[in-house]
Amino acid sequence: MTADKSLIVAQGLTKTYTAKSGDVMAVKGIDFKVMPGTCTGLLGPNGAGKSTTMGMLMGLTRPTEGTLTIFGTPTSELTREQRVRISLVPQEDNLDPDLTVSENLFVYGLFFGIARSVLKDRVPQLLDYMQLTEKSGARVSQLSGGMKRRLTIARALINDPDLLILDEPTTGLDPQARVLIWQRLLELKKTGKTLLLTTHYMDEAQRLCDQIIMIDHGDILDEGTPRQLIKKHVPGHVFDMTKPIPKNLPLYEQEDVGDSVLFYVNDEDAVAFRKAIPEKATYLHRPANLEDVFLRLTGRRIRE
Amino acid sequence: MERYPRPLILAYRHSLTFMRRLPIFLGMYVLVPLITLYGLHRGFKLDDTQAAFMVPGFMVNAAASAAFISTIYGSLMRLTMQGSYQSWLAATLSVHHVLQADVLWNATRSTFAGLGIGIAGGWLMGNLSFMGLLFAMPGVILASLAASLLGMVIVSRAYGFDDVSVYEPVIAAVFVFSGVFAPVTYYPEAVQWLMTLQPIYHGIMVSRPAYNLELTWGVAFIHFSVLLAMCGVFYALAYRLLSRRLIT
Ligand SMILES: Nc1ncnc2c1ncn2[C@@H]1O[C@H](COP(=O)(O)OP(=O)(O)OP(=O)(O)O)[C@@H](O)[C@H]1O
Ligand SMILES: [Mg+2]
Repeated sequence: MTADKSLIVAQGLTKTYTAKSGDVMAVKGIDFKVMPGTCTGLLGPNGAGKSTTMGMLMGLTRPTEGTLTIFGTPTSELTREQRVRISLVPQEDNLDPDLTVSENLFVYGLFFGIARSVLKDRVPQLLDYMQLTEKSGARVSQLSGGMKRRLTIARALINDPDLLILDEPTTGLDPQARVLIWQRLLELKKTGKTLLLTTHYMDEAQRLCDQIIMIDHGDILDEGTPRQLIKKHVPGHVFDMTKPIPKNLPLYEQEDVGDSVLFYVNDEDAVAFRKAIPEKATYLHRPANLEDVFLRLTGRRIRE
Repeated sequence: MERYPRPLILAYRHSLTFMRRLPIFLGMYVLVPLITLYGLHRGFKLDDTQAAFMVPGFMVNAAASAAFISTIYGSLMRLTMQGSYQSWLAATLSVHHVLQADVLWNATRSTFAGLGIGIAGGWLMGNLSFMGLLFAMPGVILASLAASLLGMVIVSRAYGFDDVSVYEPVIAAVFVFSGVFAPVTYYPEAVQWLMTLQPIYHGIMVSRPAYNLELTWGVAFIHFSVLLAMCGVFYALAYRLLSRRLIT
């Protein structure tokens, strides 16, 4: 036990998968902390090591080296009482297809040692919370992708966890469903729960997370609040100029994104730059965001 | 905190799904072996002694085969396609819990198939004895457990249907070479030796005399010991392989 108030502490955390086809060092000695009551985003390209890190937190993947503690206890020594306070929304839904929607929650609750009488109230409440009440008697196969995701999240809330680990909770969801999940996650954070999530949607990370950890190839590239990261890594203004690009524009960092080119312009020069754009040109002027940081830090090359 | 043992909760989960399929299950695992038994009865005009010989053999064989099949398919699905094992581990269960619950489940429900055959077969052959059925059950149960654990060893290393379906023909061979139809001594010595490697053989060796209320302590001791040892070895192996598979 340390005096550290952090809920999660990782030090030199390393994971090497050994396989016949060759060893893969998925996580390379990373250090990070997660404070209680906050939302931390673990961001990185495909294959960066996000799910591996979450697997180690859940005790489903054994760290090769380093230490990883939750509630001040190494993950391998967590007691049942401590594990009951942690929930996972896995990257791939693993709902029970043999059971109905409400049975999925009920049985999962029993695993956590929750009394039937408590579950009788909590299951309908959670279904309502995730807008699944109408589907309570349906089989999992009768749900749409978005409904399954909502049910997986509902399932992770059945034990009223203090730490909620969400691996790409909104991938493949329509805007309405994403907004519902954002609302719910923000509400959960307000009630003091700690969230650790991964997402490939930078707008989502910017909206939900107090702290961002950018990782790639198993290494931490940088961390901080979304604001800090934007400030540190990209100029404040982005001019998204539709091609053809007018001649004689002032020289700034640019990025070709296909049908348009992004110009990164710092705060002081933004006004002057805009004036320099010919009237006929089409462009979008927006503040720099986390997506710009992500591309800047991880490069443009497509991953695995 | 702990209200029910976690393997029991898993068994409850299994029972929820099972009750929905009860008619199909009974049809497949009780009716089909019963038809075979009936066919034999008609075709060969079995007398009382032969019936008393066959019925317990069919009980053990049907139960253990059902345990094996429901493990290599059901548990494989839960491990690979459904991701159920991973989801249970995330809900504070251990690999031991998962293994015990799945095996107990597969073995228990198969045991009911064995019992069903015992009752119906005994009735059909006119030698129904409730004491006999009761005494035959421990052999049926242990053989089913061993068969299911062996199935788990296979499943722990399997990634798809083809990895397990190759073992299906083995069931047919075991059906013949486990002593269901004829006493072991009818076979050549090499075959007899092979037969002793099968859980079903040992199950039959105790359940048959037990069914006929002729079981001696010595016979019971030998075959129960072998069955328990088999269960122990298969459990240790399945646990090792499954842990390696589930906890990366
Ligand atoms: N069980 C495994 N055995 C071997 N290698 C693995 C295993 N799981 C993951 N890896 C490898 O570890 C690396 C990190 O994978 P991981 O799933 O943690 O990435 P991720 O950041 O979650 O990616 P994504 O955004 O695509 O989900 C990858 O190179 C992957 O191939
Ligand atoms: Mg992942």
